[in-house]
Amino acid sequence: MVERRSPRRTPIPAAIALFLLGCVLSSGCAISSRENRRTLNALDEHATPSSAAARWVMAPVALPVSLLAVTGDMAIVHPLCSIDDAWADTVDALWTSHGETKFRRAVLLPLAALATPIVFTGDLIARSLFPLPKHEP
Amino acid sequence: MLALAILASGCAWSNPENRPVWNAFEEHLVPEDDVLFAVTLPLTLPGGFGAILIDSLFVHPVQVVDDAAGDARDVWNNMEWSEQYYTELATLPLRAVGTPLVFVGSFLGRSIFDAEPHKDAASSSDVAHQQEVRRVARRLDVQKWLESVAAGRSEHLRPQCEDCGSWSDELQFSFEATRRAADADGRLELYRAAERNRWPPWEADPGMGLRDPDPVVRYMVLQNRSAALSKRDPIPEDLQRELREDPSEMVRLLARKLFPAED
Repeated sequence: MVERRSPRRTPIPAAIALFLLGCVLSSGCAISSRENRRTLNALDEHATPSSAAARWVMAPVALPVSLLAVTGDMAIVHPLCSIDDAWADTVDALWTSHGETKFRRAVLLPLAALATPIVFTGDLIARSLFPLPKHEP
Repeated sequence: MLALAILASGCAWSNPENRPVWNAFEEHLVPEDDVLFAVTLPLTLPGGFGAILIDSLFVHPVQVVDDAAGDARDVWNNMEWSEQYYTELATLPLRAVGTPLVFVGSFLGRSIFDAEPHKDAASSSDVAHQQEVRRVARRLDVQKWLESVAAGRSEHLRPQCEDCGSWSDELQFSFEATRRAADADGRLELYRAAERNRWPPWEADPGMGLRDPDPVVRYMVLQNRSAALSKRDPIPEDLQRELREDPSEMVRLLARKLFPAED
């Protein structure tokens, strides 16, 4: 009797971890731009010790703080700050007239409504991951 | 695999500096005379192949170890601890992980291909050049920030420019233009940045924010003025008098509290 083995599947936790690692590595591109490191920049500006000796003494505490800050920037701050640009891109792409006739706009209205969440989500994810320029009005 | 390795490493091998064993073999053991050359070919040919192998697999890789180490050391260059303390700390794990990767990658690449020797950026002229490049970059940052404030986008990163180098005429012009064109929020950011970085326009007139046309800006500047700053750059008597008699009640009250009139 032939024993059938079930096909090997990646365990769910490992798949999630790989996905998150991919997000982290990709979002490293967004974080490579100084403008997108708001928490780190605030810490650099307001909490940097003035002397080298103080910087050495504070390092054991400052290192985990900086790692938390960069993680917070990647996962929370930068995506939140990108919401307005993503929404502006969506409105510009789907709801702003680019010379179309009223009839054409009326016909495309349902499609624009359907596409809005998709375009917004995709734009937000892209802005969260990559260092894209801010939306220009 | 061996033939492929030899052929691939032929890229490095194409440079005479990367094949010392072959050079020595050719110089000392291969006869110049045509007859002797032909006669000794059965011996020199395998010897030559052996020399290629030794150069490609041992000697040249050993030659490039210090260059690969220099490339790996470059991962730790250009760290600005005084200005980006937390940012540099956050990059430490990446640099630690990247260092052996860069070393191995550089070592393999330099072993296989003919690459320029690593140059340490340790000479004083290199350091001075790098410092000047950083100063120019910071001046450009300040210029860009001033333009964004003038355009009403004061959310732009506030620049650190304690070492702008010389405050250029272009920056002075942009500063004055920004002060004229920015809205109240932008002007407040401008005064704060100028005070924090002690830019020349602020050094020339530390009370500029206290003479702003907007009373909220005057109030915020006055309120945020630290005791240490007031000792180092005291507000002139005439400006104190003006603030005590300011049209805005909030500014008047704060000024009278901070600079009580001598009876």
